[in-house]
Amino acid sequence: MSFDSNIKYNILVVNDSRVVKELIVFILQQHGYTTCEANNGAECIKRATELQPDLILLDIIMPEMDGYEVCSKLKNEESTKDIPIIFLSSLNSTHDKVKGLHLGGVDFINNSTDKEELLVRVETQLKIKSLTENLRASNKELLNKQMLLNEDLKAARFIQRGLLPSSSVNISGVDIAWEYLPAFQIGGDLIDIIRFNDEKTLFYILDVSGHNVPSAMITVSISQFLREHAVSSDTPLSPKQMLQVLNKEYPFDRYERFFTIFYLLFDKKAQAIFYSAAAHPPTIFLREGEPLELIDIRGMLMGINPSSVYEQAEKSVRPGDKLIAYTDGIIEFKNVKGEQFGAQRLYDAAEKYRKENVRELKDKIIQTLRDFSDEAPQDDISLMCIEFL
Amino acid sequence: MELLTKSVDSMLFVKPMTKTIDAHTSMEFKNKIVELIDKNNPFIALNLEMVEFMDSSGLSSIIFLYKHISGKNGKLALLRLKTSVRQIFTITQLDKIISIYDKDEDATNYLVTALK
Repeated sequence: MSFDSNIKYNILVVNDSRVVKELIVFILQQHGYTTCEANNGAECIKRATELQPDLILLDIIMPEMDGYEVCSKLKNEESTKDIPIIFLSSLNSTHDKVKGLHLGGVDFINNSTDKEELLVRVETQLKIKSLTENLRASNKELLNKQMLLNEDLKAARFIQRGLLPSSSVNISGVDIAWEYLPAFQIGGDLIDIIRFNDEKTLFYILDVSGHNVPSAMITVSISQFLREHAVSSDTPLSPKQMLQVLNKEYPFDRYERFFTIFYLLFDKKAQAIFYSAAAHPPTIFLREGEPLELIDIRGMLMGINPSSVYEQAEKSVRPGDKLIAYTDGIIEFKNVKGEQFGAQRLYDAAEKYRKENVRELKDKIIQTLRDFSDEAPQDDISLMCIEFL
Repeated sequence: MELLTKSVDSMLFVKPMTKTIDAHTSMEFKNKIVELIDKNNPFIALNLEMVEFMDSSGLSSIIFLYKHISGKNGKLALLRLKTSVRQIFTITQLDKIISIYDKDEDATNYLVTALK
């Protein structure tokens, strides 16, 4: 809505000269405006406060309180500060005009100005006022909506956090530490640990494309699906079978999202790990006295091709062996120069802190990332460190 | 995002003039090309030589285009990918289902064969 000729705008005319005041009032009323009047500064302030006119036409030279002082007072008062003031005076010097505009007046009209110009200037200021009010109202509405959205996001973040394994998760035979730093309030990464029985435990880390609300909602769905299906039979599905099930369950067409995953089954009795992956960055494997090893199982992105078959590999583990799984948010983490953290820096950090326990190892890798750049993560960052005991 | 297009027989060569296809640009990228496909252009060679960075949203939009085109019995060929972008297709094994070419004539041959 802009300036509306159907609205009866109320204009306060302030002048100590009865003749001038009545002439202006006459002109304004003739053109459809409602008017109210004041004879001096004090009366103007009182009426402006009470009546909240849409515009004030303010004389400058008046006894006791002049127009400049009246203007300052009105502009300093919350209830009247937004009422536009046009100075209407016999004064005509640039100095007077500038002074009036500095004090918060929106225009300066000379008494001798003709009637048409006066009306056009009044109308212009009323239009501006109306537009400003609309803008303020929309802005307020937007802020309110934004606030509600933020509240929703906070609640969603809380729910998503609830999906992550408890920080005090206690699985016999392994020591675990993990970190999840979403790029926004919520994200598209997920880490979970599912205890199958006393001997078998499942670990996975995944990254749904995008890092926004839809991605986060898909992580919620996958998390619930896996928690239910991973433990629904007497023996757990092998990692490659599980990936095949997930691949069919979450086709790209369903949500226009795909995901990468690293999925691992630890068998404590057999002291072995069985793992499979789909287009996920290679997992780091650390064994004392041996160079850092990359567990790199490729595999098609999840959800793209329903007939994809996933590879599986296994490895026997010894006490002290460590595994670091992560999402690409770490390697693609950029500093202010646009340089990527890269895989090598991650491998170097893993190498440097390989003797630390998993909590220290995890913290130090995150610290290395922070030292590289204190920028906020551009993508979700997830990291899971496991030590076999 | 500007798209340069060139029609050759029943094929359409499309070159997006953008350095990145990510969360900020992928929607526009996808919608503009879908619009072209829907104007009866199901045989598309997408020249990505300008693209230096593509994230998972960008990849999603390519998969979407591939599926959209397949649904119309058309074909999509990707053309002139920079090494960094090519790598993404290799790692994700998308190069097993989406055809990628370095030379225009190879893309043309692929599309022409499909057109027959």
